[in-house]
Amino acid sequence: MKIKTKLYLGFIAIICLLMFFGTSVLYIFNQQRDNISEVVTENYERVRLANEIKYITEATATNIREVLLAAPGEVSEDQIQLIRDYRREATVAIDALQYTAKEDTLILVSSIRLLNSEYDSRIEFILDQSHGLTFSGLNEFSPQEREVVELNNEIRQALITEIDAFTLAEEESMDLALLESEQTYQNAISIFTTLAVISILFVIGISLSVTRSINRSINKVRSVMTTIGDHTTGKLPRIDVRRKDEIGDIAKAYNHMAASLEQITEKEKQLNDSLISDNWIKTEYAKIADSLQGVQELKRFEELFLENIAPTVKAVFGVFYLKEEGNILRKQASYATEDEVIGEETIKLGQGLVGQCAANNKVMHLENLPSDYIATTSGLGKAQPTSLILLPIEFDRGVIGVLELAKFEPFTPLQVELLEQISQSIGVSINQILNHIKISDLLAESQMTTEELQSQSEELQQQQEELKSINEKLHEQYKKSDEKTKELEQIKLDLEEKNRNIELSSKYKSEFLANMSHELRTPLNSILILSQLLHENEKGNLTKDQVEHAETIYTSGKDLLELINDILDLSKIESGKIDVYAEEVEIKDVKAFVKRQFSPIAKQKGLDFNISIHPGTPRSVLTDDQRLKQILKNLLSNAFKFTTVGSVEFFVKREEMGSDSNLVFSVKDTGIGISNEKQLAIFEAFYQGDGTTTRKYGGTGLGLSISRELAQLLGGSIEVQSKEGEGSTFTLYLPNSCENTDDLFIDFGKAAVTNESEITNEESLSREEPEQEKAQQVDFEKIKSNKPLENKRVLIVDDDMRNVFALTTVLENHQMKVLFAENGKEAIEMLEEYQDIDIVLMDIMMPIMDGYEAMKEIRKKECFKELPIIALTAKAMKHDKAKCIEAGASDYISKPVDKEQLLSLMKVWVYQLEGV
Amino acid sequence: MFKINNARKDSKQIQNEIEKLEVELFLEGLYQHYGFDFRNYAYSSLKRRLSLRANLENVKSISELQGKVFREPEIMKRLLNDLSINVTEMYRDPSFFKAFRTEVVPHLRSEPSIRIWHAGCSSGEEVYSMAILLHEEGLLEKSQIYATDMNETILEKAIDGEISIRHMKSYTKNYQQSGGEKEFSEYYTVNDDYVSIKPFLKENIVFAHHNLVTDHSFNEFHVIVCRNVFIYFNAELKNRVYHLFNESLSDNGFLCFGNKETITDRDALTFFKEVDPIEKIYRKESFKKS
Repeated sequence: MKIKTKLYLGFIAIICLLMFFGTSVLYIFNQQRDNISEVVTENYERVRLANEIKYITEATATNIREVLLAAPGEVSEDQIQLIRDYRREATVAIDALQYTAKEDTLILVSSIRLLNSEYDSRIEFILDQSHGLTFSGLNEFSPQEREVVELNNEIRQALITEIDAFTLAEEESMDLALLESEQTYQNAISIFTTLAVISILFVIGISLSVTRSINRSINKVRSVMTTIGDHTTGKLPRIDVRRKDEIGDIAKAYNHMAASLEQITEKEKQLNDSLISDNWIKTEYAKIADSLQGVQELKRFEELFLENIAPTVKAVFGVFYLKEEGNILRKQASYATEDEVIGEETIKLGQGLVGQCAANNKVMHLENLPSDYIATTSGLGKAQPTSLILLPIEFDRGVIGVLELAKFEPFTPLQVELLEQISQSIGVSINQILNHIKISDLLAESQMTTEELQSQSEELQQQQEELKSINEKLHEQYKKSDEKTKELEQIKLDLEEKNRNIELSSKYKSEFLANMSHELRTPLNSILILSQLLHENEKGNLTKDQVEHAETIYTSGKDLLELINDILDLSKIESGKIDVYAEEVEIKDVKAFVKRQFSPIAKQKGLDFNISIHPGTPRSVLTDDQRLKQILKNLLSNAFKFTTVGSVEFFVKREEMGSDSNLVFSVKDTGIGISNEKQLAIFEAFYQGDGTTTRKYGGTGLGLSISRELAQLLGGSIEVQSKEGEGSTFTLYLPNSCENTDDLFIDFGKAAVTNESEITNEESLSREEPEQEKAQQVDFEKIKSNKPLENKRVLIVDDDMRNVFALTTVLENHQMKVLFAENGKEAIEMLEEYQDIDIVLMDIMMPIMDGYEAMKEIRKKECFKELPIIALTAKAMKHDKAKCIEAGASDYISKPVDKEQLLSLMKVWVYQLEGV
Repeated sequence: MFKINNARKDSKQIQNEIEKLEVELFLEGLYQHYGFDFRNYAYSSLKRRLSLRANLENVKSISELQGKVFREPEIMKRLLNDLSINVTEMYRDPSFFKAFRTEVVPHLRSEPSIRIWHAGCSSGEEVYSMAILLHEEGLLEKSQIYATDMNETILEKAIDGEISIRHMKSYTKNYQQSGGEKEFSEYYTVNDDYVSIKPFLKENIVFAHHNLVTDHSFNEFHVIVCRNVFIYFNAELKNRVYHLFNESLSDNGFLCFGNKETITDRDALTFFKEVDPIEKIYRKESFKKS
């Protein structure tokens, strides 16, 4: 029986029991109620009806009395009606009573009914009588009436008696019923108690039996189930299923579950196994891959590969072949436990097992082979294992090699799988290595080329360096030799020229001297004597003009004589044997001389003759008066000689030529001029333009030659500027060696130089001395003044910024305006740009252009000849100082610069500049 | 026509082979007679140098030159100068010196004293550049630079530390590009047409004769600078010098090559690891067997 059924049955039994119990109780209570209701409703109703009848009878009697007592005619219809209604109600009530009355009381009821009917008829009679009767009270009753009333009373009495009897009977019945009911209640209590006890016993019994039955089944299942944990073999215990109840189902389900569990465990085990083998493959694979990691050398890679794979699959022999050009498989590496050399060196594609494997691109797995079979057909040669596997190494769908392994026991599927996996992927690695080798070969090649290029470039650079220095040397040599060649050529030309000149002049000289010299003196003497006589005018017959003319003849003649003397002494002049006597020559005397000499000629020739002395011209000049006048006379004579129309101009001025100042005497005419070619020739002795000129203008042709020589003797020179047909300007430059102007004092340095080289006249020297002293005094006074450097512009040339900064600071503190150049080249550019630089501080060691070079360059320019340049150098040697001065330095100061020293030095140099 | 071409090619090939043989014999002779070992110098460069010398000595072949060289030590001297290419500059390849500042110098700071070997120093320009660099990094005082070359003539020049003034402009530019921030002129004084490296820069430099081909390691260094030397060596000689350098470098020491020189030798690459692939700075790794 199922537990459900059991429970249902148990519960149903309990319910039935309870229902029975309830029904019984209900029945008992019902009976009780019936009893009570009988008492309450029936008995009570009957008593009530009896009482009602009693009451109605009484009421009727009362009313009848009134009717009887009432005066005739006074009986109201209503009262009669009421009585009749009472009678009817009484009848109804008796009917009801009869209806409900029990059998034992029915006799009483019938008697009541009988009496009542009698009473009714009495009443009716009374009532009918009443209409005709006139009752005047009781006393007045007629006997008839009295009888009626009496009878009536009797009947009524009988009726009430009967009713009371009935009521009593009923009350007895009620007491009886109550008694019965009490009895019934007692019974009910005892029945109820009994039933309740029985029911409880039944419920307990059923519950116990059901519970025990269920518990037993469950225990059985539980005891099996608890043993599951103890079963480790994979086989689970089963429950013996005999019952068909729920426990049976559970047992069935458990059995099913156990079966499933066993199945799952089995599957899991299988999975685990496969995982383990998978894992093994992967681990071994990874191990091998790891050991080959980063191996870039093919041979090493293959050796390592074999060394790793063979022990992994427990192979005793292994050979690795790679396919080469021409379908040949070449042994790359071999593995043998005994270190033997095994495997064929090369195998053709398709030949033997290895060749077949490569040709077919299929794994070949051979087991239990006769040893000689392997020995003859595989690449393993003499080795005699019994299991053999050959795996093609593939890349990009082509076989690139074969891996052959052999062992004495069969290869397990796991090992085969590992081998297959590895042989599939190893192809990629090998290909990578092959590529890598190719690339690194290319790289090495390109590297070699790069290095080769670099070495070539270095060699070329070296060669270039060498060539450059050779070239420089050659260039220098070439320059030198070129210069020498030019020099030689020049010398040669000069020599030739000189030679020609010498020849020519000696020829002229000899001719001229032969023709003129002696004969000239005689007539000249006559002229001189005669003209002197005329000039004296002893007879007084000559006009004043005539006397003057005679004087002119005389002086000219005298000049001429002197000239001739000079000509005769020309050799003397040329050899420098002529003495020059320096004396102070007043310019105004020169002017007077010129005017006196040439005004008459100008007048005579109708030419303008301008004489001027420019402002700034010194008052006098220290030179040889005679020679100066001789030169000027010569130049002017020529000018007047060769000028027919126009003017002759004579002027004197001072001219600065760099550091030197010259006194300039110019004679400018508008005469025939001299062609460029002849401008040099005219200074040559005995030369006079050309033959025609001599004829046309006369003269010795000696004038310019002598003038030039004389000018040179005076330390000066003569220059000519001329254009043929337009005129000429002859200029005499005399060094301003003894100038004396009102606004200038003489630079003592210069004076000293002149002193040594030119001036021999003791007197003139002594005259200068006070001037010198004065100048020196002025200098020193000025140096002592407070701010001598103020607003002076200084150029610092130095590449050492620290030095520049230091100097700048010091000099700016003295209110100097500081310029700065980093090297010599920049310094020159600065000097060009700033014309007002007062002094230069020049570093020597500088890049681009050093101090030496810079100073040389600066000194090349006329305008910088006097610029004070102070050299700054770190060198201490004496000859270094000399080198600076040689390069053009004004002075020198050592580095590190002593500030005070530098300032004093600069003051000196700045002031000297001002002095000039 | 084809045949003639072929024949010409053949004769050219033969010519080449003869030349190669001549060079090899010459070098062997040179080694045996004078002890100079150029046998492992890069062939093409050697051939060019020898041909040039032969040309300058007015001989027609290297064999002829050989006879002369054996008998006239003067020619040997000249040849030696030909064979040592002394192209150098101050701060040659400024970017190298810049890289040296940023990549090597920081590692040197922690060293109590620094030893640097400048192998193949030529006329010393790069050595002085290095000295200046170290000075600027505040490391010169604790540094000792060993500058070596196989050419004694050029070493003398290096010791003098005199550089033609005409190069100084470009050297100054190099200096500035190399990351130098001071005044380059602080490091030299000018004398006429050359500048002299200031003596304080020379204090920590030892110039010495050393031939990478034949000589051995003489100290352990933190840095070896060997720039544009390997380009004249063949693979075998390179390999020798790699080992020499490996022996002479302290662990994690630096090896600096010229920017056209790369270690391609697999063996050498196991102990020298690239630090700067462009400036060719390598670092020695203590050899670990994996």
